[in-house]
Amino acid sequence: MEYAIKVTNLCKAYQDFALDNVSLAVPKGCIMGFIGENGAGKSTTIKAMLNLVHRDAGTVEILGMDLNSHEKKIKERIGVVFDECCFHDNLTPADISKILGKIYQNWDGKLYQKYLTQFGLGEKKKIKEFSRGMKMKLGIAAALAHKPDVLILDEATSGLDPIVREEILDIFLDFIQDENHAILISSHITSDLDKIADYLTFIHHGKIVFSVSRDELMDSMGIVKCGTEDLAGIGKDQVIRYRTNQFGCEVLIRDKKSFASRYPGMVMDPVTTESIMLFYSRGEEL
Amino acid sequence: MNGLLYKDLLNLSSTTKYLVLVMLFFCVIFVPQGNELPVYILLIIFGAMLPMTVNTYDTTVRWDKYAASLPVTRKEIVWTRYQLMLIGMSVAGIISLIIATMMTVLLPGEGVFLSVLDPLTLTVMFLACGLLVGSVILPLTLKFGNEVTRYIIIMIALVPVVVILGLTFLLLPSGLTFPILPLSMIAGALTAVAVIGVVVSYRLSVRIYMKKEF
Repeated sequence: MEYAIKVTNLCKAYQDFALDNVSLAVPKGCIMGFIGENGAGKSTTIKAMLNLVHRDAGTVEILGMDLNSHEKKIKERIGVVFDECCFHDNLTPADISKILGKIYQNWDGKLYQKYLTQFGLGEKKKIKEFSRGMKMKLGIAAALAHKPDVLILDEATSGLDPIVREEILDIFLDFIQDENHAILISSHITSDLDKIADYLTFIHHGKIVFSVSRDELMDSMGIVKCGTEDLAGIGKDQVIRYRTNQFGCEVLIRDKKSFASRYPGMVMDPVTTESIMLFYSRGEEL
Repeated sequence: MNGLLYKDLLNLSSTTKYLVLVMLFFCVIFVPQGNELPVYILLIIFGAMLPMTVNTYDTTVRWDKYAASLPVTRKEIVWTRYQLMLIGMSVAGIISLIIATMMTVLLPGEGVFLSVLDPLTLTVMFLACGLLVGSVILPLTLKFGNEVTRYIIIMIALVPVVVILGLTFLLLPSGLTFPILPLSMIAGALTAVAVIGVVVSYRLSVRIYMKKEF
């Protein structure tokens, strides 16, 4: 399998937080959702992948090139959107095109204009007059207009209404039609990832908990609702995490097929990205 | 022109209008009185402070984080700041030279410095001072940010005043005076110091910026 992004054993230590041997690989033609609670290390990982912070250890390969030795080449071929608009308030989208046109070799002014029209952004309107959603859309238009092969998005859909989010998700799906393209998207809006992600990587307290295909997760994991007294009867090897509530408890099951054959009387619900995230973040181990 | 510099100039375009108005006001008030000094000082401060003004804009929107994700090296980002300073100082120098030349033609013998200096030497001296000020400001801004740099500049500005006053008080009782050097020598020495200052400052700024995390 050819990878568009390959991060291996990335480490970065701060006084009160550390990324601990973070590894992930995004295959070409795929969208990877990067999930985790606030402060889990998603943004720090993305920053380390872009050399915005200095890594203590580990390697980053993007499009087959090492980040340290081919940083400029890589950045010509990736589009990045952060969780905030980094364009100056007094500028207009037309100014942004002139600026980035002088920075990116492949900048396509017409494609940028097409995105502006599609997003309903006035070319001559000052950015200070834009809403947060409009600013995010501008960032996405700017990230796509130099025809990148890889998109790295850090909470890029936050602050957008569901209609615009859907519109943008369609653009991401359209982008991924080219099998040489890939997207790494960190998001709190797990329903978006349920719609578009092929792979999911979950980070918790600076460590990768899993990085697997979303279908594999959905096919294998399940949720069982039972009484707390039933929990003791479930094999430890079957339980990933459990959560108790006033009605009993919910259990995240590792292999739902094997579980169903061993405990045919128990009802199994399907998992969602959000439920998996909640079990890992707030649930307990048996 | 590179995109980063173009972005800075676009951002400064609205500020520049106000700077021109302030400068015209100073010209109208001081030049007819034969006192061109405030105009030169103002021009040089504007020129030297341009990168600091740009830094304020960039910090507000966290542009540096975005710039680090673009296909530009950190060295290029720093070099753009120095280019901006050099452009600012060049514009300040050209305007100073025009004002000084006009004063020597229209008000011959007038002027704080023009009575003893020709316009070109005067401009070179002021430019050298401006470049030195800018060279001090830039690495400080990159290291500590604008807020802290402002206070540091005030402290640095006070040093020469204190030294000169201190020396004067020390020399006066002993009957000694400051050695008077030829003005051309002072201009040459200042220019040499300014060039060295810019080079050292640039290298220092690159080292500071390389270590930055966004």
